[in-house]
Amino acid sequence: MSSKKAKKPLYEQSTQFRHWRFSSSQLENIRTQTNASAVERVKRLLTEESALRETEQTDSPRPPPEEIPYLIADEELALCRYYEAMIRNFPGANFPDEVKATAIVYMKRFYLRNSIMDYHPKTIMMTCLFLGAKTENNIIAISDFLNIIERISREKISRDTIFRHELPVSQSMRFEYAVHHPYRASFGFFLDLQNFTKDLTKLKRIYEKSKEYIGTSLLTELVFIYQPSQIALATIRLATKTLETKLDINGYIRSKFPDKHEKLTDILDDIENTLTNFSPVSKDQAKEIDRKLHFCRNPEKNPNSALSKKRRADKQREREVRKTKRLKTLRDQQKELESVFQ
Amino acid sequence: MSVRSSTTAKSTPKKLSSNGINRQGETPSNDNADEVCPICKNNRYLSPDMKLLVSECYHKMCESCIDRLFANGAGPCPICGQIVRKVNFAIATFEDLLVEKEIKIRKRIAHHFNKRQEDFPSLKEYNDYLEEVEKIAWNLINGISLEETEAKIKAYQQENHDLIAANAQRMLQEEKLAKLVEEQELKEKQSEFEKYQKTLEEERKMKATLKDEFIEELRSSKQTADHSASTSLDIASSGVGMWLGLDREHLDDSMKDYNPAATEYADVDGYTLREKYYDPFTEVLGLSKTGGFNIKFVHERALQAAFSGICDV
Repeated sequence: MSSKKAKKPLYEQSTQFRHWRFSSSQLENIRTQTNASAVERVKRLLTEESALRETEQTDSPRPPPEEIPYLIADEELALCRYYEAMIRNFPGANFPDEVKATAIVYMKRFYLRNSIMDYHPKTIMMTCLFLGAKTENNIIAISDFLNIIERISREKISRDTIFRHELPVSQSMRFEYAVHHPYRASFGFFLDLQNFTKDLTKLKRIYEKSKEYIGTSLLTELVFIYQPSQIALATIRLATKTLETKLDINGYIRSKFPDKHEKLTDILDDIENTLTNFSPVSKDQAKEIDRKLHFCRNPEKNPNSALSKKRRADKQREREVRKTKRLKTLRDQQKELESVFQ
Repeated sequence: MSVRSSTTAKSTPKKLSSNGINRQGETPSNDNADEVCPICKNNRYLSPDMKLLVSECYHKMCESCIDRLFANGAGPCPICGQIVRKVNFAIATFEDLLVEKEIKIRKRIAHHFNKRQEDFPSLKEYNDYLEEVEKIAWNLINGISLEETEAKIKAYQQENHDLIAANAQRMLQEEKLAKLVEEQELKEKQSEFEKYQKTLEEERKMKATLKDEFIEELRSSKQTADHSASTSLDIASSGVGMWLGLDREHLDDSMKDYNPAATEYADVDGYTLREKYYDPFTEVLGLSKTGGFNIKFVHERALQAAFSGICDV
C-alpha cells in the first residue's frame, strides 16, 4: 500500500506544471531565439523567391530581401496579443470562459516556438478556438463555426485551412491539451472566503470582478509564469481593492498561509502590477505590424508564391522521374521474361 | 521410442516389396467378378479361388486347367495350338492382354537394343536407330513378317554383342546408383519422421507435467480453485499472459503491492470543506436533482484548485 516515493498533488503532475512554466527572462530568450531563426529562414527563402521572380516577370514592386524590415520579437508578440484579445472578445457561439481561455493558451504555446512570419495569427487563432472548443467539451460543428467566422469577419475560410493547421498547432503544444485556468481556483476562493466574511453579496461582486481580471491576465505572460491559484488569489485581492470593500483580504492571506505569506504577497504584488499596467494592443498598432508582416512572410507557406510553385513543380518532376524509372524497370523485366521463351 | 522407430525402418522396405507382389496378384482376380476361364467355363462367382494365368501365346486359362493340360510337360495351347509349357504361364499384370504382350515384347527388345545417344555421332542417326527399333517392335507386336524381324534382331545381336553387354553393365550400375539414392532419401525421411515424433512426445510430456503441477498447486494452496485455474491458464497460453504483464513470475516488485483503489496523488490541504456554501452559480444550473450529482464535489474540486500550487515560487 505504502509507496516508496512521495506522492505529488494532482496539479503538480499536470503537463502545465511540468512543461509550461517559465520565468520572464526564459520567455524572452525563447522568443528572441524563435524570432532570430525565423528571420534567418525567411530571408533565405525570400532571396530564393526573388531570384525566381526575376527570371519570370516583375508584377509588383517588392523591396529586395536584404532591405525588408523584418519583425522583431516584440512586434510578433504584440500581433499575437491582438489576436488573443480577439478570441477573448469572440462574439459568436457563446463560448464559455474556459474555451476562450484554453484557445488563448494554445495560441500562446504555439507562438512560443513558431513565428507569425510562418503562420499568420489569424488562421492560428481560429484553429486554436476550434481546438479549444473540442478539448473543453464544448464541441461545435466545423460548418457552424465557419458560418460564425464568416458572419463576423465577412471572409470565407475553407474548412481545410483549419484542419490543416490543427496538426502543427497540436505538435507545437506537444499534444498537451489539458490547461488549468484560474477560473476554478477563483471560485474556490469565493467559497473559502465565506468562512471569513458574512457579506455574501459583496463577495459575489468581488468574485465576478475577479473573473474579469482573469480574462485580462490571459492576455499577459502571467499564465506561463504563475500558477492558476496564485493568479486567482491576486485577482480577488485586486477586486477587493478596486471595489473598495472592507474585506480584509491581506488578513485572510496571513491567516491561511502563516509561514509563506511574505513570498506569496510578493507574487501577488507582481501579478497585480502586471494587470493594472496592462494595455491592450490597439488596432492601429496591429495594422502597422501586419503591413510589415506582409513583406516578410514565409513564401513557402504561400501557395501562390513563385517559390512554392517551384517546389510543387520540383515535387511533380521528381514523382514523374520515379514513375518513368519504375516503368522502365518493369519493361526490362518483361523483356527478360520474354527473352526466356524465345 | 527409438526401438519402435528402428523396427519400422527395417520393416518398411520389406513391406513395400510385398505390397508390390500383392498388387500384381490381386488386381486381375479381384476386379472382375464375372471372369470366366475359356477352357472349363468355370467362373469366379462359383469358385472364388480361381486364378487366371496367361500363356506364352497370350491366352488366359485357369490354374486347374493348366495343371490338367500340361501335367505331362509341354503341349499345344487349346486355343491357338502353339506349344507351351507350364512354367511359362504367368500372372497377367494388365487386364488387356494386348498391352501385356506389347510390354513383354518391348522388354525383350530393350534388352537387345540398348544403345544410347552417346553411341551415335549425330542426333539424326540416333533418331533413325530409334525408328528402326520401333519398326521391329511394331512388327513383333502385330505379327508382321515375324521371321524376317527375328533374323534382323539376331543379326543385330551378333553385330553389337560387346556394346550390348557394356550397355547392360552400365544400366545395371545406374540402377544400383538410383537405388542407393532412393535408400538415402528414405533414410532422411525416416529420421525426419523420428524427429517429429520426438517433439510430439516432448510436448505431450510437458503438458502432462504442467497438469501435474497444476493439480499439485490446487492440492497444496489455500486459494480457491477458480483463482489458480485462471493463473495457470495465463502461463500455459503461450506467453500471452507475460505480454499482458499478468505472468506472476515477471511482475516487477513495484507492481506487487500496487493497489489500484489507492490514489496516486497527494492530498491538497489548506482548506476545510463545509457542508453548505452560498453558491448562486452552480445551483442555478439545477443539477442538484440529477442522479449521481452532488454539489459537494464541485465545491471540493474548486477548493482544491484554489489551494494547489499556491505556495509554489
